[in-house]
Parts: sequence; structure tokens; C-alpha cells
Amino acid sequence: MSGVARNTGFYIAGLALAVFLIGPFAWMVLTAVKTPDEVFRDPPTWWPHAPSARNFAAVLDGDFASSLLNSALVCAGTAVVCTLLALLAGYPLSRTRLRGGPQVLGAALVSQLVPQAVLLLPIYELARDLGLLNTRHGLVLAMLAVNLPVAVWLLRGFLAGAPIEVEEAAQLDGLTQARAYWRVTVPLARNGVLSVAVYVFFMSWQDFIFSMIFLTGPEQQTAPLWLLGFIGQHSVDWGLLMAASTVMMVPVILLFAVVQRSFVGNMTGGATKG
Amino acid sequence: MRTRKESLIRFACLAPLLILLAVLIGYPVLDVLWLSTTKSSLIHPEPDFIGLGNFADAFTDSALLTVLRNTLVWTVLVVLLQFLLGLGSAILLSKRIRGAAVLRVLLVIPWVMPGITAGLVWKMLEDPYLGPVNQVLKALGLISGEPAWLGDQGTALFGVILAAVWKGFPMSALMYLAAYRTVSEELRDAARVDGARPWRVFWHVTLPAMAPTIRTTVLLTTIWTFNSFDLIYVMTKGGPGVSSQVLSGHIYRTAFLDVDHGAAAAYGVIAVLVLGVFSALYLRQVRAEGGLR
Repeated sequence: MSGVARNTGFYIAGLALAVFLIGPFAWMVLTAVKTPDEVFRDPPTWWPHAPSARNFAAVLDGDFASSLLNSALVCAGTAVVCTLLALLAGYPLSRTRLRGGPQVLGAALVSQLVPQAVLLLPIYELARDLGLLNTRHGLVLAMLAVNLPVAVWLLRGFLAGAPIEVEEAAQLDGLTQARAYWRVTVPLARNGVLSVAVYVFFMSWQDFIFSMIFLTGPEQQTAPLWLLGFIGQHSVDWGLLMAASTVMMVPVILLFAVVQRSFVGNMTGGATKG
Repeated sequence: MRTRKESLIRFACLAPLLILLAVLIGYPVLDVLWLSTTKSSLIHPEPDFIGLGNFADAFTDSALLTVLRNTLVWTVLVVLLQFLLGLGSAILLSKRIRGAAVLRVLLVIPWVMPGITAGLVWKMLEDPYLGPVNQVLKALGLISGEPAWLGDQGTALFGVILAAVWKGFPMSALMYLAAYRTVSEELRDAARVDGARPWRVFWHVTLPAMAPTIRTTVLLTTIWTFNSFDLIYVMTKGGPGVSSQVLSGHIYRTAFLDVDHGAAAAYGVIAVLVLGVFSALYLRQVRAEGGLR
């Protein structure tokens, strides 16, 4: 095959890939700015004839705004608690030679083989007996079940990247090993720590399975539950739904932009470094 | 020198993780094992021991058999397509073509779109009247009429598989791209100098060097795909009937909508066994071939 033909082939493939990647996202945003009349036109239009922000105004004015706040509280809580607990466990697991350490890490890994669906019933009954249903902190606790093991593993990768020599130097200066970990190593790995927090935030941001069984009242309803409420209705207001979906992506994109570099590096680096 | 105090600190640091693992994963697994040998219902919530009755029922239940077949189709197709599309994209992105940097940014879109949102968007895309999928297929002359992909028993599962591939393949692509870059260019050049054609260089030099990453990624995507049902729940709720239902969604449905805790627990035990046995066999095979990375 000639070089030109090869290159043309690459460009066509690249273009197809770009359309496939961005198409659904673009459709979401374009639908969000269409009027109800245009959304339900058959055949559908691609480009909105009279773009309007009223779906966004309607979405931010109603229950969705309070469900977003609920989501933000639950997810920020989960992210902070999960990262702190992972940092605590990170000290003995990654900076010391702990007897039983590999076994604990192994158990965290194997726990990922248990489907969330299997954990639901026992955790639900436990929460019910402890009076934790319909509470935000109950939901935070449940979300730790799926996120903490992953957070521990991710964080371990970041901590391994922080040079042990600096920690040892701090110990020579009279700090205990544990203090050196908190004062020196953790600040050195702060980008990684932040990435773990963002990862956990993102995972809990999209959860609706735990939320569905934990939160039954409308007061604590999270954003995904609000969106789910539309499904099964006879006529779905797609414009409103797509506007809400777009709004839900904003915090994720912002947070992801902050940690993008170290995040992608670590997620993929773990697989390629020996 | 390790002092008593240092040992105490280490243990205290580890305690929250151990307690949470025990309460939120260890206890549930044991509880599900026990529940799977019992029968209870909404009217009679106290579980009665019935031995292996739930398992015996499970394998004569035609709905479960359909669900198991769906789970196999879902897992194999999603993992395979994510692998092929991921590897293809990684190779494309490693070429020095204009726009590769833009493509790398676009690759992140499906990944950062929350599952619930992705499910809704794809549900609309595949809507027979409002969505563009039928428009495009019609313009290409591939279909006539307005097929409801998600509303038809024969196509619903493939409709959700398409969405799952879109959502998940960028992760694989990023892993493969990182692996591709670690294969030294000198190695490839050496093969080229020896007169090897591009695809032979890829097959004999690049691919073997990427193999450990590929094995890890395939294992991870298999576990994730087997366990996930959020997209399916949003797009079809497993329907029509159980035509697009997978095992994890079926467990949720049986436990919380049918309130048959014993059967749900038995399905849960089956799910853990299937995934556990698969992972063990996979890891043994992989160890024989040169390990993960």
C-alpha cells in the first residue's frame, strides 16, 4: 500500500472515531437546547432551529437543583472519608514492611470479584436494622464498600512513586516514621491523593443502585434518582432530561480537568510499569 | 527498631480498612451464603432453612437460563469489542497524524459521562422515532420502517451492548496507548530493516510486547462488565421480558422487586462462583504465558 493511501485510511478512521466519540455527547447538548416541539419532531432535526436555554432554566429552578446538592454532599462526604481511610491504611501497607500486609491487599483485590448486586441485600438489611436508611451518612457508609478497596490500591501506586529517601531524611531529623509519612510523603504525593478523591467522587456521583435502595423519600433524593424518575413515564420530556444530564457532567469535567495529568498517568501507568 | 508504640500505630491505621472490609464485604458474603439456603417471602419474612432447594429451582427456571445466556453474550461481546476498538484506537492515536491530540481529548468524553447519563443518551439515540440512529441507518438504506431496537426481544441486548462498548472502550484505549509507547521504536525499526512488513512488525514485535497489559485490561473489563448492570437498568430495565437482563440485574430484581431473598442470594452465590472460577483459570493460564503487568 502506498504511503498516501495509508495516510488517507488513517484520517478516515480518525474521523469515524471522532464522530463515534463525540456524537452521543453532542446529541445530548443539542437536544438540551431544543424546544419541546422540536425534540418530538419526526424525523428528528440535527441542529436546533431556535436554540433556547429554557430547559436549563427549568432544570436549575426545580427539584433537580436540590437533588444535585444532595448528590454533592453525599459524594464529597464519600470522597473525603474514603481518601482519609485509604491514606491511613496507606501508611502501614505501602511504607512499612507489615506482616500480613500483602494478605490485606490481596483481600481488597479479591473483594472486587463480589458483584455490587450481591452486597446490596445484606448491606440494606444491616442499614435498616441500624436505622441508617434514608440518611446521607448511611449512604456514604455503603458507598465505602465498593470504593475503599479500589482507593487503597490506587493510592498505593501514587505513594510508591514518592521517594522513600525524603521520608528517611525526615526521620533522621527526629520525626517518627508515622509523622514523616504524614508531613513529608503524603504532601509529596498530593496530586495522587487528589486523583483518588476525584475518582471516588466520580464513582459515587454516578451511583444510583445504592441510592435507589437507601433513599426512598424525595428529600434526600440524589441527581441520578431524579433522572431515573423520568423513565417509565408515558411521555418523557427529553429536552429537560438532556439538560439535566448536561448539568450533571459539569462538575465531573471540572474536577477531571484539575487532576487529568496525574490521573491518566497513574491509571495507565500501573499497567505498563513493572 | 520497631517499638510497641509503632506496632500499635500501624495496627490503628489499618483497623478502619479491616473493619469496613469485614462488615461491608465479609459479612455480606457470609450472609448471602446463609440466605441462599433459605426461603422467605414478603408475607413470611423469617428465613426458613431449605438446603439447596434454591439452587435446584434456579437451574430449572427458564428465566434464569435466559439471563445466564444473556450474561455470557453481554460479557463476551462487550469485552471483545472494547478490546478490538481499544487496540485499534490506540494504534491510530500512536501515529503521527494531525488531530491525534484532539482525538486523545475526545477519548475521555465517554469515560467521564456518568453511567446514568450515558444510558439515557443512548436510550434516546436508539429511540425509533426521536433518535438519529434510525435516521442514519435509513439514509444508508440499511433499514426500512422504524425498528425499536430496545423494545424488541431480539435486539434489546445488542442495543445496550453498543452503549456499553461506547462507554468503556476509551479506558482500554488509554491503557493500550500507554503500553504501545513503551515498546521501543528501535525494536520495531530493527524488524523493518530486516524487511518485515508493517503488519508483521505489529504481530511479531509490538503485540507480544503489549501482551501483559492486554491480559490485565481484558481481565479487568471482564470483571467490570460481568458485574455491571447500570446501563441495562437505565435503558431497558432488562426487558422486554428478560431479553436484555444479565445476572447482576436479575439479582437486584429478585431481591428488591420480587422480594425473594433466598433465590436472589442463590443467584449471587452463582455469580461469585462463576467470576471466581473464571478469574482463577485466567490467572493460571496467564502465569503460564508470562504474567500480568
